[in-house]
Amino acid sequence: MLTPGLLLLAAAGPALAVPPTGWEEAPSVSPLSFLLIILLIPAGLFAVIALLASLASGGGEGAYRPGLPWGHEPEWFGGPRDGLESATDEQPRELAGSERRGGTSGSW
Amino acid sequence: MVPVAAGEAFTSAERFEIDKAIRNAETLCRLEFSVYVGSSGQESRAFAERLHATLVAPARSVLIVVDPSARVLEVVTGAEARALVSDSDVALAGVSMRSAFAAGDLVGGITVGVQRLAEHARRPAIMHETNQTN
Repeated sequence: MLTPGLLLLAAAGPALAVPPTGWEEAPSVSPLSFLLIILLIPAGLFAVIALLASLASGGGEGAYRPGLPWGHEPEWFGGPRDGLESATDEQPRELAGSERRGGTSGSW
Repeated sequence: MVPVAAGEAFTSAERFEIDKAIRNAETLCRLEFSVYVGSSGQESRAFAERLHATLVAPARSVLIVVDPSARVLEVVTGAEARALVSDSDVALAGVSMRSAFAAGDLVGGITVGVQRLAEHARRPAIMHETNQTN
C-alpha cells in the first residue's frame, strides 16, 4: 500500500533541487515590500470596497437605531393634505363611533 | 422633550417603497391605509385615534402610527375596517412589524405590516360575523 506513495515522493524529489544554473538570479525581496504586497494592498482594497458598500446601502445618518432618539420631522403617508395641523387644531370629526374602533398597541 | 428635527426621515427611495406598499394594499382591499412616522406624545393611543379621526373616511381607514423614539406602535382601524380586519389580525401584523422595527428596519416593518393588514382584509368575511357587526 505504501509503495505508490513512496514512488510519488521519489519522483517529486527533483523538485526540491536547486534551480538550474542557466536561470537568472531572482531579485531579492525586502521585508518592507513583502509586507506591502501581502498586507497593505489587500487591506487597502478591503477599505475601499467596504466604503463603497456602505455608501451604496444608503444607511448613513438617516438609518434608524432602536433605542436612539429619532431626530426627524414627522411624516404622514396617506394623511390629510394639511398633515398634522388638522389633527392638533381641529376637534376630531368622529369621536362618537370610537367604541367601534379597533386596532392594537405595542412597543418594541 | 422632542428632539430637534434633523432633516428628512426617509430617502426618496424609501418613501417610494412605503407609498407603493400603501397603493398595493389599497388596490388589494377596499380599505384606506395611512402611515404616520414621528413623535406620538405621551398618550400615544389617544394621539393615534385623533389622527385617525381626521382622515377623510375614518370608518374604512387603517392608520399605523410608528414612534421610533418612544418605540411605540399603534394601529387604529375604523368601524368598517374592523369588520374586515379583526383585532387579532391586527395584533398579528403588529408582531411582524415590531420585530422588524426592533431590528432597525423601519421601512421593512411598515411595508410588511401594511401588506399583512391588506391580506387579512381581502379575505372574505364570514357572513354571520358581518351581520352581527352591522
